[in-house]
Amino acid sequence: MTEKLSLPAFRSTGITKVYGSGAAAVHALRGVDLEIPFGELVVVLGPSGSGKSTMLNILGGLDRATDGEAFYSDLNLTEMSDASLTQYRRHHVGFVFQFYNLMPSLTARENVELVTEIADDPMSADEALALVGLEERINHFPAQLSGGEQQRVAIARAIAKRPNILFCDEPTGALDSATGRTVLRVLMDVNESLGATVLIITHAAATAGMADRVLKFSDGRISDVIINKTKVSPEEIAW
Amino acid sequence: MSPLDKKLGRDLWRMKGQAIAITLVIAVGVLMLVMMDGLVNSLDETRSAYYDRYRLADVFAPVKRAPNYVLNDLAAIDGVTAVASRVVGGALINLDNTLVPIRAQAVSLPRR
Repeated sequence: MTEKLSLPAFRSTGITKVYGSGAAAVHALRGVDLEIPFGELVVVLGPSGSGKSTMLNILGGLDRATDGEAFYSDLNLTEMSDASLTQYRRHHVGFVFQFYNLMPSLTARENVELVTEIADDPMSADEALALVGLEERINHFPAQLSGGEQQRVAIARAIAKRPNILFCDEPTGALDSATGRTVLRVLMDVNESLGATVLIITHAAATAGMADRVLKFSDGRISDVIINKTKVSPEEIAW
Repeated sequence: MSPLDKKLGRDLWRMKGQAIAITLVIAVGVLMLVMMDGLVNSLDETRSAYYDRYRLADVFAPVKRAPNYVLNDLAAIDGVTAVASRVVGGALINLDNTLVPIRAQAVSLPRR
């Protein structure tokens, strides 16, 4: 980890995001201030339309804020060019989405190699897959894997480039609770073993127990921040 | 081999029927284009050779009742190397072995 650890991983002030204009304007974010230290596992909770994914997209360099400032360490994400944001995403950020977005004609190992090919200092695809417990399934195609295994391949793909930040948007949304717990265990292991800052967006409020920090979104704002003194293991979570 | 190359290869193999059909259609299209181009060139050259061999004019300019001195004006046009005049007329003629009259065109020959 080469980040300037004296700075938080993320800090934002007055982040606003408006889609459309005039009477049709939709305010997705209404002035979000937050601070997330490096190395934490953060769970973001909130109902649909509360602005969670929009905030993740802005912090992940996938979208731009309408107003306000957002920093990753000392990088001002709100002032970066498209090319700089691409470099930011390539070198610092991993993404895991609800739907796994795996290439159906590539094996698990090859799906991970898609990322290791363009990353600066990646781990091997086999190592990444071993980290998510899929060392026995490296030569299987996505169609031969269960939903949970496919999501773990997606996580392996996201962590293979050793990202400092891992964004997970509803990673258990398409999984049953038992498989979801396995995926959450993998995410917690990634946080602890690689030291990556992990942000998990979820509807499942019970997930909050495994986080260092819980951000609750409501109506485009952060309505509550909870710091967990003691965390529960994913195996204890039920939803 | 890069994973993207493997993906390309497998995707092409998976849709090999379509890929072969598309390749054949393109190949037949190119073949037809080459054949037709050759045919058109060949006909062009044949026409030119025929016109040359039988000394046919490049340009025919039919006019009605033009006086002979117009030939001098035509010969003076840039690029015209030779001009010859003919008198052309049509007629219906009866031949012994036909039941109906035949439309004929009479063309004069130059004086030797």
